[in-house]
Amino acid sequence: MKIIKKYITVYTLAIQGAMEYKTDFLISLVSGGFTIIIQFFLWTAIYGGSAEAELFGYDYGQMVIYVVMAGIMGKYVSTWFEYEIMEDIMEGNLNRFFVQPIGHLGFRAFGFFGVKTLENSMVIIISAILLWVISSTAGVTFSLINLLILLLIAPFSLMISFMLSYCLSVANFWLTWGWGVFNGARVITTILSGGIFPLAVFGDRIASALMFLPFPYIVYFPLNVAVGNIAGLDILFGVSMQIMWIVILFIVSQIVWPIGMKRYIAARG
Amino acid sequence: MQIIKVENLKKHYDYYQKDQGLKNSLKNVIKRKKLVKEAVNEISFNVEAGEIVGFIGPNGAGKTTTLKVLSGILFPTSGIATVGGFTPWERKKAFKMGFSIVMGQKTQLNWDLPAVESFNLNKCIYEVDDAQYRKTVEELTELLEVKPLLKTQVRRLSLGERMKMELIAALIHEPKIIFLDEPTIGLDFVSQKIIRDFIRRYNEETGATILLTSHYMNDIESLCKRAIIINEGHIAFDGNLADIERDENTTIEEAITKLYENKEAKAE
Repeated sequence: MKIIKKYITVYTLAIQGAMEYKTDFLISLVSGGFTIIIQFFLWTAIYGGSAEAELFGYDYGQMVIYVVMAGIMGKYVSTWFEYEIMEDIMEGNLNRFFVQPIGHLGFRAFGFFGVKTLENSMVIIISAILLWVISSTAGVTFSLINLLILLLIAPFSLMISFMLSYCLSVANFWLTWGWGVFNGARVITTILSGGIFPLAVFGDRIASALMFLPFPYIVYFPLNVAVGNIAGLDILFGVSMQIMWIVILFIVSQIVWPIGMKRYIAARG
Repeated sequence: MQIIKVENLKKHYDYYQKDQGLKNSLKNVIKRKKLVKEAVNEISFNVEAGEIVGFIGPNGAGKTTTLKVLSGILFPTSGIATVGGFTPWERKKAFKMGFSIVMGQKTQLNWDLPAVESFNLNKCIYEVDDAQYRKTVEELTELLEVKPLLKTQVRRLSLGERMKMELIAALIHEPKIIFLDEPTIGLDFVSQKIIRDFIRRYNEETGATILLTSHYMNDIESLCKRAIIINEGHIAFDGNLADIERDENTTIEEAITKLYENKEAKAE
């Protein structure tokens, strides 16, 4: 019981900490909106110029919902703590986890989900408004039930995203300055997860090959559920793949983190 | 009872050097020459339960490295150490529950939130019950005169105020062993004195063992009967401060500087 309390305190503290930065997050959300607007006009033009009603297996309405929601999912699953871990290692603040009876993964995870609880509540409210605007102005329809299912499976996406970043953060033990790696990884992850446009755009063969990686289960899979391209038992299959990747990445982190920790020299005084 | 035992402890780091200039930067990309720094070299000492021991030495002497090894942050290159009956770098939970380390140059407080939030987190981390937690915070904030600041965002505290909060945060779980690495660094003399008096009183009342490093001889002289002087990874002196050889005309600082030099002569 006391152990659970430890992490719940970390979680609530993270929410309180995030409250201090809520304006910053809202502004970043709004600025992210520009990409969404560009995407919207781009695909409207593409469909307008095409003789076919369906491109890459998506009709116009589905595509608009997909790319708009892809921008939102990007915010929903975004991580930042790679940079914090980088600083912890550079400045020697990782000491705390060797000295205090609290686990690093647990601390990071509960802190992350704490901040995300606040941020993603804003994300969900804003996406609801956005979807309402789009449906009433562009005449695009969507299924409310599918969106509710998205709301249920999105937390698994968040967990994959967290575990991926956590595993990647271990690179900090070898690099003094990991910005390049993380920024590069972010771009690749976004593209491979279907965070810009559906993976089907790459062609069927590449798309189905990518399904063997964890990335599509972060954005591509849940958004295909949202637009109704994945339904029924396929949803269950996708969710089990998500859970499988969370477990695999957890195991990877348990292998690579101890190796990295051995390199830690607790720098700076 | 000897609560800290250190035997032939050694900690070596690898590091690299670069000669001046762009050419040498490029050369270093291809091949770097690895050098070894002997931060701590075969030191041995014991500390009795309830003692306050001052750890003195110039910058880079190996004081902080020793404290880091003794608190389990670093693995030693070789040697044995037991702290409260545990080998620190095994990082057992029971060991962690019984000690605390405060580094004057680092913070364990959450800067975005008031200090009381960090205290509460430590309360949960160390599984301290409510009544004891309230009593500890009440007493310590009173002693250190920071009670009115408990609800102020840590970012807005002065260095001295923050240091006092760091001390309280480190004492929430009533550790039996406390490592203080330059707890008074950069503080004005009033704050220094408050912290000094606090440390003495805490030691008297709880019987906690304290290992303290400082560059301020005032700290050491007023708190520690015994001092361990370390230089270039070796122990240059271990004993009562009063026993350091000096005549009437030399200050304690001068006498200690002399000890550093002796060690250097021996090392050569």
